[in-house]
Amino acid sequence: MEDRGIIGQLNPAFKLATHGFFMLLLTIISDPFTSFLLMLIPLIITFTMLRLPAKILFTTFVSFLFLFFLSTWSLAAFGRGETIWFQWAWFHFTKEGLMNGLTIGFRMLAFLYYGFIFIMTTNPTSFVLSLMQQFRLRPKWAYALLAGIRFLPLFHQELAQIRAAHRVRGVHRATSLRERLQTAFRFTIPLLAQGIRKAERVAIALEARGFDGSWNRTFYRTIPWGYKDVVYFVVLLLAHGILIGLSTALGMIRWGLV
Amino acid sequence: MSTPQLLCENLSVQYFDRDEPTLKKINLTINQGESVLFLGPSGCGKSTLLYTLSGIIPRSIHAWIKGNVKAPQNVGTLFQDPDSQFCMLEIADEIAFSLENKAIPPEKMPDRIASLKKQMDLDHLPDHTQINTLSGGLKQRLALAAVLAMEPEVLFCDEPTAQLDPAGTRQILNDLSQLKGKHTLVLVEHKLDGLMDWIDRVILFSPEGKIIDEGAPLPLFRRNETAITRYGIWKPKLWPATWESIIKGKHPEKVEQWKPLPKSSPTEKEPLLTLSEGALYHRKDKALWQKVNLTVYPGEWVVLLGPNGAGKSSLLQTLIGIHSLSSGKLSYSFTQSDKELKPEILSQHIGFVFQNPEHQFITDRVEDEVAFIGKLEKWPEKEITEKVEKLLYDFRLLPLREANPYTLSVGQKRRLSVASMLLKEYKLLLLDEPTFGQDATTTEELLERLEILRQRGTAIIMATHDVELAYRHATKAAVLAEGQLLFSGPPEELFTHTEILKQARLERPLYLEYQHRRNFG
Repeated sequence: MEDRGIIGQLNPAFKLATHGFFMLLLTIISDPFTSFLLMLIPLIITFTMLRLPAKILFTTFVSFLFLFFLSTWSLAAFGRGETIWFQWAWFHFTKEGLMNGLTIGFRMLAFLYYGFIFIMTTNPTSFVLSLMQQFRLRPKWAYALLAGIRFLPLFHQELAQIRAAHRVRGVHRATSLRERLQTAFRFTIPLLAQGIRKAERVAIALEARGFDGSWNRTFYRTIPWGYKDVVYFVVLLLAHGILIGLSTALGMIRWGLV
Repeated sequence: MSTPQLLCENLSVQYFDRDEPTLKKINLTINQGESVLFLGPSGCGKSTLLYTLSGIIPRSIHAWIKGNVKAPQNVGTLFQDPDSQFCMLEIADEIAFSLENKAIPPEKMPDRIASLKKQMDLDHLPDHTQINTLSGGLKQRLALAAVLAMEPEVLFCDEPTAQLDPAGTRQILNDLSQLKGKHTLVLVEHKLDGLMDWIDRVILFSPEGKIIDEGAPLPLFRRNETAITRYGIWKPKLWPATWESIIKGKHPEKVEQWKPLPKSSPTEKEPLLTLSEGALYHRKDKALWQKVNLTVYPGEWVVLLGPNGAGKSSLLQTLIGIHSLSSGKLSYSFTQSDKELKPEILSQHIGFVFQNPEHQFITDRVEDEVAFIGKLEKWPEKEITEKVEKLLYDFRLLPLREANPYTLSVGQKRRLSVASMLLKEYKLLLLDEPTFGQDATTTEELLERLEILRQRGTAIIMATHDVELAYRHATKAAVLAEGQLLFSGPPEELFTHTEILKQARLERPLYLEYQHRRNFG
């Protein structure tokens, strides 16, 4: 994705750390009301600051909501608890189960939105460069990571080709279980062979261009960080503080891991 | 005036997993500013020598080295696979990567990047252009720019055009010729046209990895014509002749080789394949190709020509049902309804040879690979054995019958992939660039086999870049370019349409070039 909007101008590594910090904070809050309030923060950021087409916003919202209901339902209907609301077949609805399910559900929703914001506003190259420049990720790993990102679409094409070739050769006509296992196994060999060969070639080519994986290099692109990153963190911190304060005042908040 | 820049004395190189040294006691001197070509049959060690001189062996590839190598520190290498020499996603970043490795101050980089882009004719592309949107030829150009960013004294090129179409090949060879004299150039390359007129010296290797001759290209070729033919090395198209002497009529045997083969026109009236108004869409709004009309009769040899990325492969794959047409109609003489248009059913009548032979290997013995379809369809054991035996013999794979297909050489893999499609006699054989990257001998054998099949009534559709093949063997040529079928008809006719040739970036076959030059001087 591109460095999109105001959030796209933030330093990717700091952005990741900021999101990580508030995701951690969410994990030690164990009541649905506070979790719901805190979940609204990334949700509002997504809808107001990313400037995404309405269609993308809507489809992600619907799919995230689906995941929310799925996890809440499964925890509520099968969870343990004292206060039983109703029981039918395998279902076992309890008050505690539902509360727990909602907490986890809102928490997950918040995680999904933090992740979504990060992915939609971060250019992968900038991200890896900032991991190197701010978090001292060794160039050896960083450039390997970038080279790997390039290969994802190629790998996908390769797999499609192999699958097509096998269909043409009549592999599908193999009927016994043993034959099928054999063919599925063989599927992976050309893919692996090709992957290893390509990786080797890239490594050779990069070394031939003077890359030695060390810090003895300069950077064409410097990924800056500055007051914007601090402001982003502080604004999020304030928002969390206010909402947690509100929830405390209302007596709704419960701290804890579950 | 000539200072030796690269030197090796008594150099032997042996890979850890081999019993024999790949190179034995090589002595070689290359002078500053010289352009040198390493030539030899595949597996002769020419790439090994190039890697040793450029320091890749032993830095990146480990091997035992004996003897002396003297080479400057500052060298650059261009490789053959356009997709695996990059680690960045955008073009300016990629050129900058070389500069970063040399610890050039960042403030100096933008100017350097701009001038390299200009030198390599990439300045029409913005800095943020995604590398994966470039054609193979442009990718190689970018790779060359990234290598030149290191300001190498010696530039090594390991088959830089091996994976490019003819247009991309011309582009890169032309770029390299511009660098002659500015850098010392050392090349391994099989495509000799566009190279022979500017290279200073050719070093010829025997299959055993010894230098058997060296010198200026023209005399060297004359001295070693028989050996070169025996090794299956592609010869420059005209050599040892020149256009001048050919037009004067001194080489009637050459002209004879260029003429189209006698082609019997198909006798059957009912078409085997009918594709009408076919279209395949990328996404909803983007057609890969459309309005494609094609009729193929039994016993026809159709070549599918066109630049890389025009959709030749996807058209072939559509014909066997891997992709479904987005619109239009496809039918075969042996199908009743559209429901049968999937590979599971069509593959009972149609054979398909994929561009990358490895993709279609599904067993771990050469013999099983050829026998696969027979065993699948439960033919009598005796029939399978007999036919497999004959195919292995015909394709020179008999000594390798126990080997794992993945361990074969490039040429052997290709022969195996074709052999496995010939056990059963299909009504139609689809081949995706089967001669690509093959040596002269393998190509010639392959074409002979296909001609025999065709005469027995098999229809052949083959994607290729080889206009000589199209002109000599095909009964029909189809040109796919710019998202449409620009031409479909006899090859002789195609090559009279200069406009279409230009659009599809095709050259004229030699025989027509000969006639043209003879008539118009």
